[in-house]
Amino acid sequence: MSFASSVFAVFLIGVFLVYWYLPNRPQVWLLLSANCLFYAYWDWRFLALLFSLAAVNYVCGSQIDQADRPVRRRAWLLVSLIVSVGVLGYFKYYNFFVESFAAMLASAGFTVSSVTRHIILPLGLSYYTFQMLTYTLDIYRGQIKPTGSSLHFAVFAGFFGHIVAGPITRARQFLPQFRKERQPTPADLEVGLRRILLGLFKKLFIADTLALYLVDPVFAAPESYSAGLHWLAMAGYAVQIYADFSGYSSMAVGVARLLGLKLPENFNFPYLAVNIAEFWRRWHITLSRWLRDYIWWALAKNIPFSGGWKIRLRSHFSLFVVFVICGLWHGASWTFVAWGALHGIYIVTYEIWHRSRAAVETKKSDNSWFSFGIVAAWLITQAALLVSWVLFRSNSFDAFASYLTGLFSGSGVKQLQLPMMVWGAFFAFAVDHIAGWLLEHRPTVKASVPAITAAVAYVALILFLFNARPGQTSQFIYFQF
Amino acid sequence: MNNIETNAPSLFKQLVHLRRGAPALWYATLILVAAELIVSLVGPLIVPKHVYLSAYLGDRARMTTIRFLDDRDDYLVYDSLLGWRNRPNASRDKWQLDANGARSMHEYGLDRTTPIRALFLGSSLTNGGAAVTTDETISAYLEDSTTECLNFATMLYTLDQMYLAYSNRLWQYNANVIAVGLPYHPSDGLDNRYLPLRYPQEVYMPHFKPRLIMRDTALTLMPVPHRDIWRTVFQHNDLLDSLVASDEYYAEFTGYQRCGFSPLASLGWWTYKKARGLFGILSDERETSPLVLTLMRRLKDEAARHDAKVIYMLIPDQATAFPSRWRKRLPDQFGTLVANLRKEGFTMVDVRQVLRDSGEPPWQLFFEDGGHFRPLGNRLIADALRPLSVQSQVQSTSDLLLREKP
Repeated sequence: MSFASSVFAVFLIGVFLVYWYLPNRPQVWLLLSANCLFYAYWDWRFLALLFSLAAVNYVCGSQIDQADRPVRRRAWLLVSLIVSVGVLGYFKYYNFFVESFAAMLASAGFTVSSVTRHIILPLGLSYYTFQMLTYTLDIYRGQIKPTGSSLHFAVFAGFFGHIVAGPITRARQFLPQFRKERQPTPADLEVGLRRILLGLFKKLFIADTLALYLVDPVFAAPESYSAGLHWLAMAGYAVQIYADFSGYSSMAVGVARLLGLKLPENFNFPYLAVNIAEFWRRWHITLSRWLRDYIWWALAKNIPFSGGWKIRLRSHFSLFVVFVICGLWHGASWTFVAWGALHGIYIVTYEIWHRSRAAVETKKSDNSWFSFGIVAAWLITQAALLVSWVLFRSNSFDAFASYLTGLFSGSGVKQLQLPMMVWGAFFAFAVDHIAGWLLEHRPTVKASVPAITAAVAYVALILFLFNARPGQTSQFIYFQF
Repeated sequence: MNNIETNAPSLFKQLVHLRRGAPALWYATLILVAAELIVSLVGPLIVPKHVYLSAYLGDRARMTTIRFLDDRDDYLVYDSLLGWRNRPNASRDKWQLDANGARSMHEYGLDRTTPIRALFLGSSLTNGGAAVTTDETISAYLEDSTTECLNFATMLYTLDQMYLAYSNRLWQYNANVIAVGLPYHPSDGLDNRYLPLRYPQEVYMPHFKPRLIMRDTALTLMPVPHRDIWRTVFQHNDLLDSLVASDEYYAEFTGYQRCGFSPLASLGWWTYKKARGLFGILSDERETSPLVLTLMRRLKDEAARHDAKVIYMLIPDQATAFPSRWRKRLPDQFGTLVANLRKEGFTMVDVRQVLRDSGEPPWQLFFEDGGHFRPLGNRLIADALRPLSVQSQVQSTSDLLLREKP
């Protein structure tokens, strides 16, 4: 049940109407039922697995809190980690590691028979696991107390608004909302619908148009196209993946808001970033923060930010490892690992450079947003990102190398009919980011837009989307992760 | 009364609350409703019909129309009586036609060379479609040393076109068995003149067809437009205006004009169509249309004039042949239709029963579209057809002998 489908629209309207008809406590039961229905629509067979995982983490959370000795606390945390990460590892990475190991043995001259299995990855398992781990980890750190309600925990773990592709919501952000009285407010309704509309526009118009007419054809057979189209498709993919994922995230936030719940933001105009660290503060924010707070922090918590070169080396190494894990989290493939490693190299390079050239950052904080240095930094950052997106999209290193070569020497003669919609999608993306820039640098702009103007814009967007969306809709890219 | 008194202020309060709390949403709702009304009510008054048609069918349909009328279509040629017919000697991948425009194993002349000559009429379901080779069609499986087959089934033909094709041209092939593939709702399309009004998605065949109208017992032909007039369908309203009264599917296009451009109206239109479709499924047996019976009888009589027997094959789709659990609870329209037609004296092949009796799973018999048959499905139908065709031939010969005796 994709957020961009009519089935989901019917489902959401039904849940919304019944939800606000009910008092607060039955609302939670309704959400649990809706979560089960939503997930069962994809594949009911994994419902038992998800409930079991939730039960293990719920029990572990309580036991960590009740344990009187640090050893016991650590032991219960380990149970939670081993079970959660173990299940994720089996479903997502078993074949990857087995194949890689077999290939390694084969390259050393050993003959190995194939021991891979036909494993179906339960939808959203990566997000589900990360979200649940925030519960036990935060209890272990003493940042939250266990929720007394297994019902609340089950709803948090499997909430249909975020189970498939985030935003990765922490227990401490989500669970307290159940303890408060929830009332439908016009503001929530307006914000929720607006976020859903903007998300749909990004997904159905920008992402799907670029995918259908430009990105998919060129990436499917890059050797057939010219160097110019290589560049255009590369830029197109960068825009597509942003519009696809931020569109989904926007809809998730909107869906939750309609039910009086708040999910964290996942995007903040990432292509405005002038360095790679800033990019990760703007892109998939909830994942970046999760990795920072739960992995990087664990690796590097004892490392001060200044000191001898050995300490800095350990800090940089931790950063690099975090990004390799980030790559692996995205998919069980060496290209994803390499993508993570590439970002690790980017960010370590930036860190080293930043320490030696702190002046640029200082200049930026002085509000002189436009300077040669800033423009150059932005261009370098975007170029690095574009290269990394090609790797992210490629199925193999050969395909990646071939695409990069094609950027400079592509001589395919195949023509690609690019309808006006493609340029419209690029234009819409540019408007989105210019609006983002204005919001950051001219905050008064938002306050000065009259309600009637906003309303006209919404209706125009609805009618445009209804009549100008491409005929085919593709699956959300991040659903596969 | 009490309820009204207590609820009315509450509703009013809520609306005021919404207006104050979410002004943009309030205005957007009002503007959207206004826009819906303008698009639905005012739009059709000022925008020419042919402009709507261009938007309805898209560029592909317009280009296909020009190609077809310029005689540049790869598979079909313009036919002033039938609308279109197979292009002789057309071929692509698995789809090959002979010089007669038939999909046959061998190229046959007008005279038959074996005791049985079977001539096939129908749509792509009988023709075989593009996914099977010529030797995997029903007609090819029926061929043997005593039977030769000419497969004249043509994409999207309806019963009226089959009748007109046989009575005007195909009788010349001296077949003594006419095998007619009927869709399981044989009346569908008989009241249609412009295919896109019935099938907007068929952008590769935006063609006009003839329509036969029954008045008392007489049939009146509404002909296919001349190709010069047909060409103007995307430029002027005249041809579309003529369809308002002569094509029962025109309401679909009107629905698009009024509801196709705005989401709420479109949702309403979609709901109405779904409800209508559901009502059609849930309703009791359809009465066999008088026009269908007349056309079937006329075809049978016309064949008899040329010493041929007609065998009708009622062809189900996958959902009808192998219904889901809930569909099984619905009235069996297909079975009723077969029984009614047999009662009317027609020789029928109940293809659904043939497929079920085979014990083969549905995916071995149907392609993914759930309509066209895989080679195995075609072979089973041919096997069911064989005894009937032999029997028809024997009967036909004895009829001939009896007639010649005096």
